[in-house]
Amino acid sequence: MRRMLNTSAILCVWGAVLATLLAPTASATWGKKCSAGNGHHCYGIAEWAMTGSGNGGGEELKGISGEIASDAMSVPLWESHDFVTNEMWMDAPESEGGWAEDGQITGYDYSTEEGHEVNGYSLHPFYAYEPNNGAGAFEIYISPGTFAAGSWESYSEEDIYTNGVWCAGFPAGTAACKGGYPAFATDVQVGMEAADERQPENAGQDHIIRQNTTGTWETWPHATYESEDYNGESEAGYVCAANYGHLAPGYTQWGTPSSSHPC
Amino acid sequence: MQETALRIAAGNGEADPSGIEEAESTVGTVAHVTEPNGTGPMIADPETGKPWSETQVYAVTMRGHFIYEGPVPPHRPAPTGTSLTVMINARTGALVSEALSDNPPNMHAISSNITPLGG
Repeated sequence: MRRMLNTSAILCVWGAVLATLLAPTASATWGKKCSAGNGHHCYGIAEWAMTGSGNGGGEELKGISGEIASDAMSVPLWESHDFVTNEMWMDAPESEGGWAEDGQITGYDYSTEEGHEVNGYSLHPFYAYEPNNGAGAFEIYISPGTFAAGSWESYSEEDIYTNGVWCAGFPAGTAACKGGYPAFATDVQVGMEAADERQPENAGQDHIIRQNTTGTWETWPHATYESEDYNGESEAGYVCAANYGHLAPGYTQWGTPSSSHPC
Repeated sequence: MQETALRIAAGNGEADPSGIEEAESTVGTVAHVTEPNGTGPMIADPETGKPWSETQVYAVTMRGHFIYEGPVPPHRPAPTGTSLTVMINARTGALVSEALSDNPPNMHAISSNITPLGG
């Protein structure tokens, strides 16, 4: 009996210790290094990094376009600016610094009904521009509109007139344009980003194609699928990205472990 | 309004911004002042059916050392700046936009009625 009591007491103490260790805290890291802070955003993406100059030499493109669907998005600490996205990025050469992005965001101070799936108030279209060569202001806009979970919605990033004016396309049409970029982009990514102190839920698919420098639209020739944090360190097992349905590169599925789309 | 602006500033790495000013205007007017190289929103506001550029907002500008904390491409640094301007929907209180640069916007081009806030 005494041995049983001692064993029970030891188990109780260890239980309390474990509960303390595992209890959520105000500042936490999920995955290996994923959290809300700069340098700790995590990504599940398909990327096509090109070799061109952005100004008419080598591998480069005029734009990307396609349909994206967000099946599950939930941000526990949405009121603290935490967020998840399903989006596409179009980047100028790294030496010039400019980039543009658009897609759908959940959280970022918009209610996601903590602990629940994406709902009628939480999935907002957004776009953002970082100016090329630091000329001008960085800006992000979040639409008051929302979409239902699982609906396929059209987005694009495109230099329509090949004049360095990059335009963000929403399902409702061209949302905005901004000048000062090179005519062509040299790096594109599509998929998810997560910046959260507590592990969020995020899952979806993207069907993205490219516009060549001549204006024709084609599928991507190749892509790398990356599950990583901001510094490029692997977060495999916590976020994932993979080709979707054995279709063309750029057709991507991605998700977090708690979501319905493990890949 | 000030509480919302301060919360967003803190979310962008500046817990104690200075020079806080607020003015009421439209999305389009504020967008043109904060970033002349951009068009600002060109589609309709889904909540009103009217042009998004005509949506009434409070523009709050602040000074400090800001490091943008929002969606960014992988492998690229977060934008930084010493001036943060946020737009807040005048009807709903929702965040509409953030603009970050080293050049404060000309608030007099946004509105003739500028209100200094604490900070």
